Amino acid sequence: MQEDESLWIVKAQRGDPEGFTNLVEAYQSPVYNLCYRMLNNAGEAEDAAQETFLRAYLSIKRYDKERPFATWLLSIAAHYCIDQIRKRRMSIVSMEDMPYLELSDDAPGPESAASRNEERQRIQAILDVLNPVDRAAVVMYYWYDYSYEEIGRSLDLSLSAVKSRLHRARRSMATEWDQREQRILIEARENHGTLKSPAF
Amino acid sequence: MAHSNHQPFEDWIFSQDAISREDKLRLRDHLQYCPDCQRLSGAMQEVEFSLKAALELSPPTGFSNRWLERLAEHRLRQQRVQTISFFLISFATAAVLTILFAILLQPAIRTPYPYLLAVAYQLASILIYMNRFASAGITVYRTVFKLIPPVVWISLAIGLAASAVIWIAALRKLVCPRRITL
Repeated sequence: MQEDESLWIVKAQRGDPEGFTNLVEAYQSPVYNLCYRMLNNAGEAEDAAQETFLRAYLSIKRYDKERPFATWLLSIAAHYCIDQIRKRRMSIVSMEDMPYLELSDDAPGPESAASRNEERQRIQAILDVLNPVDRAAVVMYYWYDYSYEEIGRSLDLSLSAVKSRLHRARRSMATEWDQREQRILIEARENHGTLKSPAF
Repeated sequence: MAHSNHQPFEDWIFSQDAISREDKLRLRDHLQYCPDCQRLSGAMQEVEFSLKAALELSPPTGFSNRWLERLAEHRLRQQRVQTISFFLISFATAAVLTILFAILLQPAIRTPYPYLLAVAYQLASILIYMNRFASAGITVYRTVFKLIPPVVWISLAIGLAASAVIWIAALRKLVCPRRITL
């Protein structure tokens, strides 16, 4: 894989689109996943992933071979998504209004699909409380097992900044998770109370 | 309990760095009697578990084909921008030159006869020079033709033809867009 990747990169740097298409095939899922986790919208994630590959293709000659290709690519994706989120804030869009595209991971049945969808929504809800840079750091840390140094290099942050951002993000996510659990518990109690109360 | 009292324990709950054995014991003791920190610690564990267990999402099938379409669109757009820029620059240059030319010609338009005479004189001089140059060229050609053997002439002709072919091929490569295939 590593040899193939080097070969594809060399081909792409010579201006051969076939070499780059192989790189697109190999990295479409990590890039798309990062974009989806960042933007929380399938359509926007697809668009961001496409744009990431286009930007990478246009600047492949400037790619430093000493750096892992995945880190370089995900760095482009993260920066693009951070910009998109900042632009999006200018025009606030309700989450309910966002178009939803069915994702490609094949679900074995409707129950499993519903459960996975619920899980996905729960994860997105805790990611949504984070600011874009913290969100990118969390995605890189938990999904791609990036070290603090790699995250710092990808997001142009110092080592201490990465540590403090991850610490803050973990606190925010845990607080959000806890509040959600509390809300669910209160709703369940209220529903239980309504069911028990006698009907007049 | 005041928020400041939780501070070291909360930091340890959310820290990724290893904490000392003593601090671990202190945290364990604190969690036993502090429900707030207990809840946060539990929530953090659940968040970590969910994030680590979450699947990597894939784009809908045909992603690379859609990317190739986007690349082709981008190139087309770039070509259009280049063409429009070229025409705009040409138009602007032509407009500037026309204005400059008009300014230069303004006195000649008012009183044209001396300028027309000067132009006619210049044209006649150019024709005389060209005639002299042509006769000199013919003399040199006749002399050289006799000196150089026919094989060299044939080689020269072949060389020129090859250069023309290379030039046309290079021009074609520059003008025609590269085809993209999977």
